[in-house]
Amino acid sequence: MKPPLRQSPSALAQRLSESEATIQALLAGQIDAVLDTSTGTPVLLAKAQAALRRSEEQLQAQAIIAREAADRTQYALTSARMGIVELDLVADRFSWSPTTAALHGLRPDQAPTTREAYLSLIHREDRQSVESAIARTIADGQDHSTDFRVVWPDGSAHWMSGRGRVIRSADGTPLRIVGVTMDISEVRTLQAQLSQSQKMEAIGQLAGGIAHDFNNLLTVILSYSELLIPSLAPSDVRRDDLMEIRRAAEAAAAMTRQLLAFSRQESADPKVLAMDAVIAAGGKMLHRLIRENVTLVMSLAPDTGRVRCVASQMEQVLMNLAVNAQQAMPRGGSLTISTENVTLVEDDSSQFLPLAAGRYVALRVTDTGKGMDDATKSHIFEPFFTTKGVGEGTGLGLATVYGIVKQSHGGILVESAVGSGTTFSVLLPRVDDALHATVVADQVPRVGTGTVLLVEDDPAVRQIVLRTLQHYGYQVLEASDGAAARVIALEHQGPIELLMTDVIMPGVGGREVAEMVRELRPETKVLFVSGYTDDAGLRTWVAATKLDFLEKPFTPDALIRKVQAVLASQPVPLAAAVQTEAGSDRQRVMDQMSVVVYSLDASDCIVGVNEAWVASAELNDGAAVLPPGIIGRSLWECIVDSPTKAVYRGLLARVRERGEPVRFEFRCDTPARRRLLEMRIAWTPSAAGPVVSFTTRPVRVESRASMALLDTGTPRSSEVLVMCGWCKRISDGRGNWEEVEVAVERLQLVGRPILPAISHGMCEDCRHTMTALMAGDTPPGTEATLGAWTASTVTP
Amino acid sequence: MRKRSAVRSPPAKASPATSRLRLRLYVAGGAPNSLAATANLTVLLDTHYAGAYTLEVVDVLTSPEKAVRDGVLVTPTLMKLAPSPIQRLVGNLSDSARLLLLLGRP
Repeated sequence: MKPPLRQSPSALAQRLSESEATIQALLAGQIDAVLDTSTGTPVLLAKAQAALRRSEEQLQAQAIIAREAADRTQYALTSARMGIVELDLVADRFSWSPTTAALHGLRPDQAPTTREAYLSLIHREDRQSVESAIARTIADGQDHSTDFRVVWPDGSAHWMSGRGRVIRSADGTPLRIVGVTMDISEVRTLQAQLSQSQKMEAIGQLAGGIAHDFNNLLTVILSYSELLIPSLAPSDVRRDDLMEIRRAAEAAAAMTRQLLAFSRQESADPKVLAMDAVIAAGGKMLHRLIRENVTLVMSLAPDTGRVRCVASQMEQVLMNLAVNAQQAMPRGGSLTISTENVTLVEDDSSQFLPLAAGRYVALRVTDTGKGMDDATKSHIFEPFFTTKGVGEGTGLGLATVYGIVKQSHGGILVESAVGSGTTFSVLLPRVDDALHATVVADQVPRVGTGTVLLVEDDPAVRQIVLRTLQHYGYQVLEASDGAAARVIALEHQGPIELLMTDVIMPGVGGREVAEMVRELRPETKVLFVSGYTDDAGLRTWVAATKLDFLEKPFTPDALIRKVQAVLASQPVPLAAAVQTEAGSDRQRVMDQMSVVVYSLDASDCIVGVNEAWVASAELNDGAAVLPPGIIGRSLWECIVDSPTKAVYRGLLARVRERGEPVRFEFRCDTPARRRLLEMRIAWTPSAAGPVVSFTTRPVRVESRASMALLDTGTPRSSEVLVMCGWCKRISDGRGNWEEVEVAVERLQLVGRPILPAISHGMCEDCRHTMTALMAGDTPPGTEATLGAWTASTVTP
Repeated sequence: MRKRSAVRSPPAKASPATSRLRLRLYVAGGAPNSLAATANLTVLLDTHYAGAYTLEVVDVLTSPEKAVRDGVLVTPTLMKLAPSPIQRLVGNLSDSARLLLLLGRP
């Protein structure tokens, strides 16, 4: 090393200037580290140290984030049963994410490394489509997506869905294909199950639709033949012809019933029955049906539980399964019928009808016949599917079984293999309800009296029912729809003992007709008629209300029998929770009040009222509100609370200004009725000058459990609840308004001898609606509804 | 023969325009001034000497012996190795005028 003193003066000057620059840089804070020349170790300055530590921490944090992201991706891929694959097109190298191996039933170390090796994992039949998808992607640059099967080492095939994208270099050369693959075996299975159930559903709808019209025709054929037969002498040859027609119609009716049973639209009244008893009874008939070369073994467990079903339907299920089993054993064999209790630990959706976990009673029908392959098995419950020759079977047997079991909320398990017999297991939910007592049918008198209001849209059916009823001595009022029925119910002088109405009709349905007629004539009994109750809500309603129901097609005999039975019974309430105030005249007038009219002159003095108004005013505690001698008094004396006054003033002003009526609906409840009334305020010129008329009519009336809260006769405390005068909801004092039922429940008012007083007010919703109506923001003849109720808001 | 003549031929006159620029930058890992110096230097080189320089970056945290050999006491230090004379510039090289002066471009 040269001693510094030997350096040239210029070099020395340079070293000095550099030293000076170093000191300046140090002072300016531009130095990170100083080297200890004796040890050769760099010493970081504090600032640099801190910065380095920070960046190191950042790096660590980033590493953690990256690791977590990788973990998440790994988890997502694993749980979605997805894999990432990559094919290097240049080096023909194939690679995949660790999750992919599991989708192929392989260990991670068994991953394929070339395109050829990967393709060899794909099902032979699908390889071509995957290869062409890859080729297409390379050629057109579009992402490709294809479904294919992969074969696992155990030979099983699994469905995969693959999507891929080509990655290119800057000059467009395809470099590699990256893609994701997903195991879709489960999706495929579900899709297949769904399409199977949709197919059955569609066939059911079709069958049900045809059966509906068919039933109407059969009712006509059966009824006319039955009416005509007695009119012909026994010697008349035409009598036999007619009986032949009737027999054919009866056979057709039986077939229609089977179709309806399949489409589970048959209306039946299920009872709680012991499965073994039903099967034992049905089994007796079997002995006559079964051929001699078939051994019938009945193995009924005596302790099998109870199920909710229709006995005749279960007998039919047994019969159809047994006949089927026998036909599977042309050379004889053994037919075993057994019952047992079964508990499913978990849901089973693998079968034709999915079964939820729970307790069941199983009926098993086992044969030792030829069995079925899977293809046959997948079709056996379809109507008109048959393996028998033409004319040997209708193909409706198992379809009927399917319909009945589905209707009974049960399921069917089919175990079969070619050459080793078949077992059908019908599982119905086990119930703990008491057994239904058997009812013995009464002898029916043949001639009756009374008036029947018949509502039926099909003219042919209406005609034959009319003739049958008249034939047996009834007076019949006929209507083709609900509107006509209402007119008759309103105008007919004298009682109407029975309303007989079709359930499904265009426009107003049978249920509404019944409610309408009952509203006018509470004593009238109701008989519903239908062959097609597709409406689930209606079915539930019929079942829940225990209403009388006659199923199409019916014979005159069945019709008269049913009519007699209904007339002899007590009227059934239409709503399950009806609780009327027996013998209350007040209530009856309130309910029947149809149209209330009063009118005002130009100075708002009442110039006229109709009779209904008088009745309603008196009954509606009108005496307190409206002093006697109402004519000539100002309307404003008659309305007590000021919000109501303000609304009426506003509405009157609008009607007078524009000369157009306003219409709105509001609530006018009574303790036993919920009533939505329509109010129409109209301006009319008259001889004595223009008058404004107020017309009120009920829009909707519904019975309810008597609401003592509304009854003014109940003692009141000083506690005050506010009720909106328009929607009749009650305020909780915190801006929430609720139906009376809800308030009664919440405030626990049931059973209190002294109830809170009710003060009338107006809720925000009604104020808003009425303000818009008064301002005329709404079109002429406008409507507003305050306090309309839905089923859910009023169910106590 | 050729070898001989090559040895004997007089060395070409060093000129900033013709001789390739050779630099060595001493830094201390990712410390702030070191990062700034690296960034400042590369931007300036790419602007004025694109493709005509060689830069060696030495991290004293991993190779302190090189710094000791070159007599570097602090980082960041930029050493111009060629063309001669060998010169040093200390700091984050934010003063581009001074940097250009060092590199031989006024």
